[in-house]
Amino acid sequence: MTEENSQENVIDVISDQITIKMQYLQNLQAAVSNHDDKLVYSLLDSRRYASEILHTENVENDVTVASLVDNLSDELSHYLSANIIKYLGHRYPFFYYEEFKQGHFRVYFGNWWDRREFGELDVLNVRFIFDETEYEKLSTSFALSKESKRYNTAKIDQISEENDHLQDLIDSQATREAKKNEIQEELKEVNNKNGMPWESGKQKEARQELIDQLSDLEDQDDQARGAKKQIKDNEAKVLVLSKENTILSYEQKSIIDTFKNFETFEAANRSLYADYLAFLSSEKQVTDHE
Amino acid sequence: MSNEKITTQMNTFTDTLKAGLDAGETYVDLINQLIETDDAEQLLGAANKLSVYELKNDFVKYPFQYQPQDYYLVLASRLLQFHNNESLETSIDDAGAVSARLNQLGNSAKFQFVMDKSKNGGALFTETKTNEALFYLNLQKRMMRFNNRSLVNLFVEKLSEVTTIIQIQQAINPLMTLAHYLQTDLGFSVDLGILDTSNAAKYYLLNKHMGLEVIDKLFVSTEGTDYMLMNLTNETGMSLQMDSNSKLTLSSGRESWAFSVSDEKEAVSFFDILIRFKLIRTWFMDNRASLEIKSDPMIFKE
Repeated sequence: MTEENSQENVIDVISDQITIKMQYLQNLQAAVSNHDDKLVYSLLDSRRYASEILHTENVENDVTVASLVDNLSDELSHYLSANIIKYLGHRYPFFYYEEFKQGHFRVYFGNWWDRREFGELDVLNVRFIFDETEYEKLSTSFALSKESKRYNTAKIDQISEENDHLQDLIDSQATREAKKNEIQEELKEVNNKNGMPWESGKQKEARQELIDQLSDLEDQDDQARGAKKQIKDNEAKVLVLSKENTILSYEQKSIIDTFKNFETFEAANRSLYADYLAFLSSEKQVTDHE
Repeated sequence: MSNEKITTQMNTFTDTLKAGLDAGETYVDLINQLIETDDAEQLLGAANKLSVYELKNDFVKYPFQYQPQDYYLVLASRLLQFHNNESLETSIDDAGAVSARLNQLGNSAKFQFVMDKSKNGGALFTETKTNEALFYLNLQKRMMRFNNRSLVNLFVEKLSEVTTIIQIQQAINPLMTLAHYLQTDLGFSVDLGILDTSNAAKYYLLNKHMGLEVIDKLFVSTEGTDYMLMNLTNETGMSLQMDSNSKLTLSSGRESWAFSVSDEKEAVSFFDILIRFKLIRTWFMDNRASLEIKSDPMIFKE
């Protein structure tokens, strides 16, 4: 048996570790009851705090200590949310939050007619977890706007073209009727012609040609019959696509109003933790001063 | 023929003649009262009696009489005059028909009352070229009801091409002033309809089942403008800040959708919004089947 493993030694280790844990919990308890959110954040993730706020690297996260409050993460998140959402209200005036269960927050972009659910707010880690698909749409539409294009314009144009074509089919109904009558007359003529035997090949060909034309026109009639409904369906599709364009334009406008451009918005998201904790310190100094 | 008989007959004749002359005299008195009195109640009393006055007699013929609707017009223009408002200019043509102009509209519109043939009685203030009945007036029941559909037809659709927004707003003013004095001087019950500027005014849609895609269309048409169509927080509906002052709301109540307009001074009506903002006007006119505003259903059958 080595000295380290001696009974007394183990007791010391246990005692020390328990003291550390108790101290940690006492600190956290005090921080929570004083509403010292900055201290709470530093206790919850000491490594991130050291690296991003104190700029000291290689501080080990005392996982074993912080994990003591793992089962309280929903409560802690709920508790910390009040201040951070107030802060975000100023920095991101276009985001709205809904606590769909304790400590869990959905983020909505805007409170306009038909807004989008945009992801979640991770309060404990001070970050947005944006929905990838939705975020991609926004980032694409920012890129497109540099070429004065909009997200769904190509699709809308395509459907509009289809509607123009369908409308033409409806409008040309009378012309088609006339043409069909004409062809039927011609067909009768061809059928009635008693040509020379050597002409029958040509006659057959002419006949087939007319029949093809006729069936082509009848196909168009078929299409025209469903065209009205198709046009309506397409209009509904265009409305949905246009709505998405409008939502994206509102989002872009909001980001530009607040951040000037998309890049600054993205940079702000990256530095949110540092910015928020710096804000908490400055606020604390003010209150300490008072 | 015995003396007795001729006496009876002459008596009857003179009685009837006297009644005819009396009726004529009363008619004269009432007309004098209508055009001379400075008192609103007296004015209303004269117009009300004249509008149902029967000047028929077997022996006394009065070849010229005014029409019942003429007294309505005189009442309206005189009540305004009591308050130094000369906007409603009445005139009479060679055939004796009385009509009026709103001087802000010049010759682009001419108005007459048209008697309501339904059992309600009363008369409709009607533009004669377009046949749009702007409001209903009942002197007996002391009520006034504006007709929202016709207000839109006349001012937003037909006249907007020949008049300016300012002219239209100025032409509406005397009508609202008239409504105001009918209410304050004579205790009329007044429904201003889309002209009501109070923030509490609800402009109900005729169509109870407006589809949300109608609002989608407005949303889409705000793209690229400075307008942002917002969602209401506690109820289904939309709101739109029109300018720094006024906000338009369309919300779904228990029974039906309704517009409302709020502004600090309570000086803006839904009608003003329609007239002033092309975005709303175009959307409203394009989707009128869904967005038409309801008027008093007892008076204006749809």
